[in-house]
Amino acid sequence: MPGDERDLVAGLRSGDAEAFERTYERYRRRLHGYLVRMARNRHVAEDLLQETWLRLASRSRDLDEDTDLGAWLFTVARNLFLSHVRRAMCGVERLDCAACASQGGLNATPFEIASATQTQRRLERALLELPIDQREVLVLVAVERLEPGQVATVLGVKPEAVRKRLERARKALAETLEAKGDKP
Amino acid sequence: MSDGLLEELGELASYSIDDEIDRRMRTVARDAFLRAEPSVPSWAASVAAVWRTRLEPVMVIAGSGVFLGWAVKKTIELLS
Repeated sequence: MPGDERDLVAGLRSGDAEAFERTYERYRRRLHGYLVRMARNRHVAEDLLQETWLRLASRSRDLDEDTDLGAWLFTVARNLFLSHVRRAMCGVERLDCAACASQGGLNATPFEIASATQTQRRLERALLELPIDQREVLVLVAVERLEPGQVATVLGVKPEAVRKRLERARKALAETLEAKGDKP
Repeated sequence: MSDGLLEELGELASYSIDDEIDRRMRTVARDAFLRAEPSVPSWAASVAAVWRTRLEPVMVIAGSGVFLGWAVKKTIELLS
């Protein structure tokens, strides 16, 4: 674990507001990107992101000294997302679920449309069509570039299982792109 | 990561957060962080639980019993 990450954890454990700010600044975009791509709905992603930060706020004093902050935050975000999916499947949030399924809540902003190439837009669409387990390993490894050990921690599996899951997900993504007439 | 497809994924644009939402989220989280109390260590919680569920009731019952015994004894002495 890098020294500055260790300092952040120490700061969080002692209630240092600046450490919290630095943690927020370091991870907000990555967590947001992960949650948007998992939930496929900006509003749901923002709710889950807020809850992730509140979890950090309430549990930061209990972090272990050697906590891998990135893996911890992504694990919390993932667990919150999975809880949301379970609630949606039970019908508690059926409307949200419908929005997720149709990607209706994921309209790109004009800036995002302008900044993405056509290839990137096709790749993004293909990624969002994959099942959750395949999508999440691709997002964590390739998009958010977590370390293999961190991904294994977040997913709660061994690194070897991450490698296999990544292979399957990559193949599925390539097939989805091919089915749409795009060569990977 | 030498795979071309995975590298392309790494170049996908990030989704932007609305500035107002981001500001509100940060404020709410920071306030919650500043309000958060250090949690009680697990050993202290265990001691507190034992005190609350076992020792305290026993001591209250024992204390009441001793006082009642003393009161009854005193009453008998006064009446005899």
